[in-house]
Amino acid sequence: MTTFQVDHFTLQALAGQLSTIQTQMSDIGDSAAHVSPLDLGSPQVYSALQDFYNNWSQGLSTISSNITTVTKMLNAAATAYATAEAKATRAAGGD
Amino acid sequence: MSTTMDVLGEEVDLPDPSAIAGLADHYGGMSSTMHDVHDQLAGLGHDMEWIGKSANLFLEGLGSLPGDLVKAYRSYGDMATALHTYASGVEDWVGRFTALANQANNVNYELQQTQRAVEQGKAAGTNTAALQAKATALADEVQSYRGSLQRLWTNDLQTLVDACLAGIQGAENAGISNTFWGDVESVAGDVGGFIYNVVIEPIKDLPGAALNVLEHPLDLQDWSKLLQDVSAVVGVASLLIPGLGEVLLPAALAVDAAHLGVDTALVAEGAKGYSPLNLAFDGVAVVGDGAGALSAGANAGDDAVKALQDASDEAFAGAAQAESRGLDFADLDQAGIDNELKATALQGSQSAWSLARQGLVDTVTFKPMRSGSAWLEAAKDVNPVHDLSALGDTYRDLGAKSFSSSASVLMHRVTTVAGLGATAAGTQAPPEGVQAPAG
Repeated sequence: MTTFQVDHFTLQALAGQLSTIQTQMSDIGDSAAHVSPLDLGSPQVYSALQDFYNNWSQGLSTISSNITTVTKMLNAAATAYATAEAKATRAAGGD
Repeated sequence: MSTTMDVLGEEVDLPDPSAIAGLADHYGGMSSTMHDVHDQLAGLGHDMEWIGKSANLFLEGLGSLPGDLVKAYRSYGDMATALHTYASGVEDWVGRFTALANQANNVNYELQQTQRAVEQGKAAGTNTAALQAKATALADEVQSYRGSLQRLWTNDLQTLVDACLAGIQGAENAGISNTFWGDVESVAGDVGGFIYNVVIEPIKDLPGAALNVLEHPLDLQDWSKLLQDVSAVVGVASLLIPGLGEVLLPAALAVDAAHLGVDTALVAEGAKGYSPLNLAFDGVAVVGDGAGALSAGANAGDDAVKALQDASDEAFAGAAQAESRGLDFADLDQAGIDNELKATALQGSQSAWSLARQGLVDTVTFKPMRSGSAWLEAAKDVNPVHDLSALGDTYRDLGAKSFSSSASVLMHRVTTVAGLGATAAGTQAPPEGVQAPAG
């Protein structure tokens, strides 16, 4: 028989942590937009920073979205295991 | 905040090293945060109390996220390093420039004073030769300072800028820059990671899949992957190019039929990762193609949708029954739990499918009853892609990533049928009392 081991409370806790981190990532925003080209000493650097941010926008969005999905997966798994455990407990004659 | 300095009578804006360092800290902070996320996910398979098939399925379901996070925190870390180095260099440069500019300003002030004395001496009729010689020497000195300042600005600062630009470029290259596929994703609409993972990723894999078939022409699994990806390409093309779905339907039917045949052979020989569930989805895709092709005539949209729904109902019911057959709580094991999870996913998918179907039926059924403008308004409320994204999310939530490409095929079929149904209905004469569509 295949063995498995799971602590669904831990899964739920991790889901909560990931959700918090994802929120922090979303809140960080683009501070480069608040720095003027004069501060940077060169419009080239300013332009390069904008390019960097623009080229990363999709990637960050994808990562953020994937973290959201992973959080859902963890929550779904934790819930499914909790439900299965309750059913198994009943099947074994427990409350 | 940059500071403005008067240099030889001209206002010069000096860069702000502290602002640059602050920006570097920002990128460094983001890098650190993403590094933390990556480490937590990486620890799942080692430190967490979660072992078994579902845990493995979950780790597989993470897809590209861990790798993307590595690229992200390295890229942002490289950016932070480049900016910190630049900030340090600029701080030193500002110090040197300011000192030189102050010296130049002092000499320039002395020059102005000397020139004024020369003018006053000439007016008084005194000998100004010595003063003029001094003024000439001071003017040469100012000119020398001007040249030094110019070199500081155009050479030294530009050297720092060039190094910084190279660092930023390196950081950007180390990351995940937007690509054509990212643009396609934005065109396809805001459906989160579904479009990327379910639709775009198979298309990105297509060249590799084709190469695998060329290298291993007798490997059925390579053929299955290639046909699956080709079908996904057709699906995405149908989404992005109006009318193309109808043109490609015969080819899609042939591809999906071939895919069904190859997968049937793989299931028959017990290939790893292939189950009757694959065949169910392949079958739905083929039936969807057929239904879409039949819907080219007027009023056939409803039949096409119904046929597709019937086929999906049957496929989902059969697959759910097969997958949950081993569930036995008296002998609870990992396989049983996995089956329960899959069955739950299928039930949820069926619900999502029903919702999407209802939206299509509403579109096809009620379109002839509306004026052109009213239909356009109604059509805005029906979004098969959006509705079906829920189906894809359900798959992914349970980590059943192997269903993803099948879901993309389904999406293609539904949108194709919807497009054909709408086209067919749009060619009918409007009912009495109903205005014909404008234009």
